[in-house]
Amino acid sequence: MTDADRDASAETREREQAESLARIESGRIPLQAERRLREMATSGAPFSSTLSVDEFALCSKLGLQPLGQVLGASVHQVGWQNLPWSSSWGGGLICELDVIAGAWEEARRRAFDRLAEEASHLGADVVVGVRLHRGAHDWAAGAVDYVVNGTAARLSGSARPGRPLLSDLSGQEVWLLHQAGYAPVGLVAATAVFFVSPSYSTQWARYMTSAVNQELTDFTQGVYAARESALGSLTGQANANGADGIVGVRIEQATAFHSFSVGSSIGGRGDRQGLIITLQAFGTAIRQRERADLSPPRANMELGR
Amino acid sequence: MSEASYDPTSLEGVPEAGRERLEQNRQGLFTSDLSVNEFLLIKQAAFDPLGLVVGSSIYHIGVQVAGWKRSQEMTVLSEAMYHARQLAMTRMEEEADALGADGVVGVRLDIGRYEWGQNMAEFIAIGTAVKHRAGVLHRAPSGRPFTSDLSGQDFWTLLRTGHRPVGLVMGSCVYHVAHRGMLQSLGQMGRNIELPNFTQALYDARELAMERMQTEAQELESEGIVGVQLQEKSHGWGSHVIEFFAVGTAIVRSDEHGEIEPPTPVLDLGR
Repeated sequence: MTDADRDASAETREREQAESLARIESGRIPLQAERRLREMATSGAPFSSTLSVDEFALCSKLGLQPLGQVLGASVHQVGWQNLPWSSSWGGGLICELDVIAGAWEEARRRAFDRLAEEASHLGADVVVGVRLHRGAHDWAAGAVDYVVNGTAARLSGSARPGRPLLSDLSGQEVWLLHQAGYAPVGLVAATAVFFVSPSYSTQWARYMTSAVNQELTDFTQGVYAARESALGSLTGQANANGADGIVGVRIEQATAFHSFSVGSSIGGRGDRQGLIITLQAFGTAIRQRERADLSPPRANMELGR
Repeated sequence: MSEASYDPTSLEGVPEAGRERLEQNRQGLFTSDLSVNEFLLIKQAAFDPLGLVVGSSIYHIGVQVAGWKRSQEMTVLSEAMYHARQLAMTRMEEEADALGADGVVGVRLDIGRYEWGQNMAEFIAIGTAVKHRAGVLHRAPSGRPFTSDLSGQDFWTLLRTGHRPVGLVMGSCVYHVAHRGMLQSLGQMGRNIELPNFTQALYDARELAMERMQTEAQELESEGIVGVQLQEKSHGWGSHVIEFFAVGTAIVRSDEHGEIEPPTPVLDLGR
């Protein structure tokens, strides 16, 4: 390679990186990814999949043809959240932290959109076995990292245009549902972040009368509010998709104490303490396709171990 | 990336005790890390286990410095991680060949780090060599024994679907994620926004690893890859340098009529 060649290729790389950045900013997938998928779609290259062998075997039974492994990712910064000014501080306060919840929602939306975009480049109808990873990196403090991957597949004999359908069900589960006459209609997910500032009575209960058994109603209420808000949003999404129900809902909950001062933003320091409840819920919405009865399962006793 | 040369008769680097062990295996005593279920299913699939095969390489990983504010692939490190694994795999395949095996199932790729060597790591490939009882050829198109990370159960199921494994395929990409500049951080401070340069860096690195894995599968003339795992690890290079490693088993169709019988739902009464 001559120096001129090297300069040219470095220049191309720079240009491509800049273009990829611009695409990411507009919520799309980078150049590199699109190129890989286009090549796969056109050249008859081997498919790649996160399917286990069992899932792969069942896919051919369902008429699902795996096309390729697809990915969606987003690193999202969480903005500043100001706590509301309120005269009722002394009486305790439960409020939604919409900026933090919004960061999660946006990161997830972008990651899912990219997953769907990748799948549509392959001409897929569905993405099965979607797995979610959420993490934080120590080099990106205060940011959330959302990664989803799954296997894009085409249903035999269908030309279903539009956005590919996402589902976090495994191949086995899709097969079982199919046997019972159900079909997945989409992945539903929601995040709720709530803040609880304990009222005087709760503070009193925690610090002063620590020997007594009693419920800390503010905290219970906060957890309830977060859960109802997330689940309500899940149900709403499923309804909008015309689903009959949601299966496999997982709820992950994290709670942490933070100190704050009245009227400041979360993350600052202060003389008071409050509880932040982060609750994430996911599931797959399903619809009844036809009336079918699953043959009664055979009881089986495992002899191993 | 440089291809590790493959010599089916080579036992280079295998110590005396190892050769004796392989000789014992050749005479008919098999060793394996298969569970009882796996062992029985491999027998059922008309294969015989021959012996545990191992490949190992202690590799010195070079040094590469990335620009503080540049997102870039660390090609020196990528190549090291890939080449060392390939060396270990090749040695394992050579051991399998010495046993006259058709392939290796249940391959595990491990990386060990030791206190006595900075920038040094041991790459280990370990699996069970198997041979088809009726002598039907099951090797990869390159003539090497097939390799796969499938368990005995998965191997059996896969054969029933009319497919067979041809090779463990992998792709590695070590990537430096750029630091954010002061001005940029200030500009983004306190706002709810995506961090496009971080997203792009992580995305790019994952895509590169997957693409490399796919290229390997293409070279094996395979039909597809199952069981892909995407791993993410920082091997002590500091928090901004991350390895993305994609690994899966490439398969080909061996029998046009292979089809599993419809499964029966089973209720497990255990526990």
